[in-house]
Amino acid sequence: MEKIYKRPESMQKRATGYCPGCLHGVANKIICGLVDEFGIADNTVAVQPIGCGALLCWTIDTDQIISLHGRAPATATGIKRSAPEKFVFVYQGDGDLASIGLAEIMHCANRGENLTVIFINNSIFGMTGGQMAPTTLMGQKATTAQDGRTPLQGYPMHMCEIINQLTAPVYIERCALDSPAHVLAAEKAIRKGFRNQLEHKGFSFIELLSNCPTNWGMSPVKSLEFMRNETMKEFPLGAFRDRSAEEA
Amino acid sequence: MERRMKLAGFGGQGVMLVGKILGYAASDHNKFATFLPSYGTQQRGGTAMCTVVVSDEEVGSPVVGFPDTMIIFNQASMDAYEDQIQPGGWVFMNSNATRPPRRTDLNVVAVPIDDMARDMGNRKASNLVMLGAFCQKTGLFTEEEIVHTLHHVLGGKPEMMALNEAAIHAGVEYVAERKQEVLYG
Amino acid sequence: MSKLFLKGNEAVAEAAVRGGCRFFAGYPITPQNEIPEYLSKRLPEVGGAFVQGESELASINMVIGASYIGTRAMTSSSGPGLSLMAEGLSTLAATPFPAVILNVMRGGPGTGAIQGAQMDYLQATKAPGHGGFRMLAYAPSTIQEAVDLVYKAFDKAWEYKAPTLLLMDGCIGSLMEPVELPPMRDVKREEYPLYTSPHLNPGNPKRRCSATMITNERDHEEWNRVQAARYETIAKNELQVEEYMLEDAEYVIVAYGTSARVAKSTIRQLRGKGLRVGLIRPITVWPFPYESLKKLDETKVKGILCLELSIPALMVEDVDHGVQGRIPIATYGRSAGIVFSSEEVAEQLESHIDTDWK
Repeated sequence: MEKIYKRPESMQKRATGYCPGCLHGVANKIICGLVDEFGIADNTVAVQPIGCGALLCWTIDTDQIISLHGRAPATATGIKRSAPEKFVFVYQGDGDLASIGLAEIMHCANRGENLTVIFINNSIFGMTGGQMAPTTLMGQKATTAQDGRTPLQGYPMHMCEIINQLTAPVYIERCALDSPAHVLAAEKAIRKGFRNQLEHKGFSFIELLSNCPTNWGMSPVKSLEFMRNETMKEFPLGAFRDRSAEEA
Repeated sequence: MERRMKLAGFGGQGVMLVGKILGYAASDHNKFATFLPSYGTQQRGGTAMCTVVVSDEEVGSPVVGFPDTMIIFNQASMDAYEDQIQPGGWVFMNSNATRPPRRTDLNVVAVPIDDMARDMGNRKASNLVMLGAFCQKTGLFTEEEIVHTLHHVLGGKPEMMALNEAAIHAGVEYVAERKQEVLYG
Repeated sequence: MSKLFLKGNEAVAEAAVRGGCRFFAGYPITPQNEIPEYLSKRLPEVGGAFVQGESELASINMVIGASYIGTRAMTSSSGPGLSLMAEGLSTLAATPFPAVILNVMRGGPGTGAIQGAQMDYLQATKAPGHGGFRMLAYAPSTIQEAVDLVYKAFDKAWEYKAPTLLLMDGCIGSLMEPVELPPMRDVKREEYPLYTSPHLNPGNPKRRCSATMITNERDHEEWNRVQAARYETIAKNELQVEEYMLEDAEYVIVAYGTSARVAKSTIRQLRGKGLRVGLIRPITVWPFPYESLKKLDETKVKGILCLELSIPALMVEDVDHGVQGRIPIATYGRSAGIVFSSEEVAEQLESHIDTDWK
C-alpha cells in the first residue's frame, strides 16, 4: 500500500513539548516537511528564540542553535554571512521578535539578509506564563494586563506592516494556522520563503497567526474561534509584498 | 638617548602630522618611538596636542609630563605648556603666532613659519618648515632621512611632494644660516 | 622583517586578520572606532565578512552565530558596550563558543569619558556577565604585545573553545608605535563538536545543536563541573606575568597595560637615584599572578604601590589576596583620560617611602 501521509524524515522521533491544542506543532511540522521536500536536512541551521518557539529543538532533526531572547536574527546573520552555503531559517515568537528583539528583526530585514524568518504570533508570552505581548489585542487579558490591555499599555504591533516599510525585504506575508485551508496556505508561503533563500533572493518574512489555549484560558476549539473572530480582524491575512518572481 | 617631546597648536596647523612623521622616521631608522595624540571631544577645531618619544631603547611611558623639547605653534599652547618644559630644554616656536617664553632657562628656536610658507606659496606647509628647522637644530634626523620618510607617509602627486620638500628645506636653511640669532635664551 | 609605525587599534585589527579572524561585528564607540573601520575594508579582501551591528547586543550575537558555524570571529567595544554584551559573553562561555573580544577601555562609570582609562578591571576579571564563569583576559602594555596577544588569543580561544578577552586601554588603542606584524595564517572554518548536541537531539548526536539551557538538572550540574575543570586548566596553563627589576626590589609597583609602562619609566628614574623599585606586571589579568606576590619577601619589600588608570582602585583586592596582609599596599590612580606621568608616580612612591613605608 502506498504511504501518502507520514512523519517527515527531518522530525525527531520524540514527543513535542507543546501544550494540547497549541498550533506551534503545526508550524513545526510544516517546516520539517519542507526541509524534506527541498532535501536540505543536512545543510540546514534552525535558529530559534527563547520562549515556546525554542521547543522546536525537540522536533526538528537538523543543526540548530537556540539564540538569546530576541537576538535570533543577529545570530542567523552571523551564521549566514560566514557560511552563505548553509540554509538558515529563523523561528521566533511575538514576545521575542516584536518586543525585546525589535531592533534585531528590523535591521536584519533592512540589510536584506538572505534568510527566512518564521514569526509565530499568538498575542501572548507563552512560556513565561501569559504576560502581555506587543501583539496582545486591545482588551485581551494577560497576567500583566488582568483587566485587558488598555491604551496605556500600547496597541497591537503589526510586524508585517512595519517591516513592509523597508526597502530590502523580498517577501512579506501573514498566514494563519487555524484551519486546513489556512495551514495549506501557510505551507505554500513558507515554501516560497525557503525557495527565495535557496535562490539567493534575500529576506523573506512569514508571520503565522497562532493560538495559546493554555494562557488564553480557552479550550483549543474556542481558541480557534477567537483567532477567527478577533485576531484576524486585528491582523489581516495576505501578502504585503512579493518580489519572489524577480531575478535574484 | 631618549628625546621626550610635546607638540601643540591649533587644530588644522598640522601639529599631529609633524608628530607622526617623527614617529615614522624613528621607525624607518630602527629607533623606538611612541606617538600619543590628545584631542578634545570636538570633531573640528580646538587645541591639538601630541606627545612623541624617540629613543634608542624600548619606550616606557608614552606620556610626557615634563618634555625636554616642545614644538609650539601658537600662543595658547605657549601659555599652557611653557611651565612644563624641563630646565635647559628646547622650545621650537612659530614666531608668527606666539611670543617667546617668559622663562629664561630655555633654549628657544623661533621660526616665522607662517610667513615662510606663505612666501613659498604653500601656506599649509608651515608645519613642514618647522619640521625642517627642528631636524637641523637637533640632528635627530637628517634632511635626507626626513624627506625619505615624508615620501612614504604622504605619497601623493610629485608636484605636491616637491613643495613639501621645499618647505622642509626652507626650515633647514633658516636654522643653518642663522646660527645664534634664531635663539632667544 | 621591517617594522611598521602603526596605531594600536589598527595594528590589533590587522593582527586579528592574520590570526585567522574572518568575521567581525561591532557597533561604533570611542576609543576603538579604528578597529571596525579598518576591518570593514580589510575583511572582505581576505574572504571574510564584516557587519556593522545595530547595537552591541546584536553584534555579540552575530559573533555567536559565526562562531557556532566554526568561523574565527571577533568583536570590539569599550566599557559601556561590554556591559551590553554581558549576556552574550555569558552565552559564549556557557555553550562554550570560541571568540575574541576586544575591550579598548575608557573612563567610567556610566557613559564616562571617551579617553582611555583602565576602569573595567572588575568587569573583565570577575564579572563579564551573569551566571558565574571565567574568561581568559590578556592586558597588553605595548602595541607589539597587543598584536602578539590578539594573535595568540585566537589560538587560545579555539584551543579551549572559550571566549577570550583582550583588555586594552584607550591609550594603547590610540598610541602609535613601531610594530612587527605576525605572518598571515590561512585558517579554515572548523565545525567543532558541541557539548549540548546529544542533549538536544539524543536520536541523532551528529547534528550540531547548541543551547545554553539543559532541562535535566543532573546533566546541567555535570556540565557546570566540566566548565569549572576547564577554568582550572586555563588558570594553570595560561598565566602570564612580567617581573621587572624585582630580584633586589624594596618597593614594588603592580600595574598592567599603560600604567605598567609608565611604571617602568618611573623605576628607571628612581633606580638612577639609588631606590630599588621593581614591577609586577600581570599580562593575564585572569588568571591573576598571585604567585608573584606570594613569593615577595616581607623582610625585604617595604611597600607595594597598586597603580591603575582608575579611581577608585580596582585591582587592589587581587594584589592583597597575593600579599595576604604581609606588606603595606598603597594605591594611586588617575582617571577620566588623564594619564599619570612617570614623574608623578615617582613622587607618589617617594612620599610613601619617606613616611608610611619607612
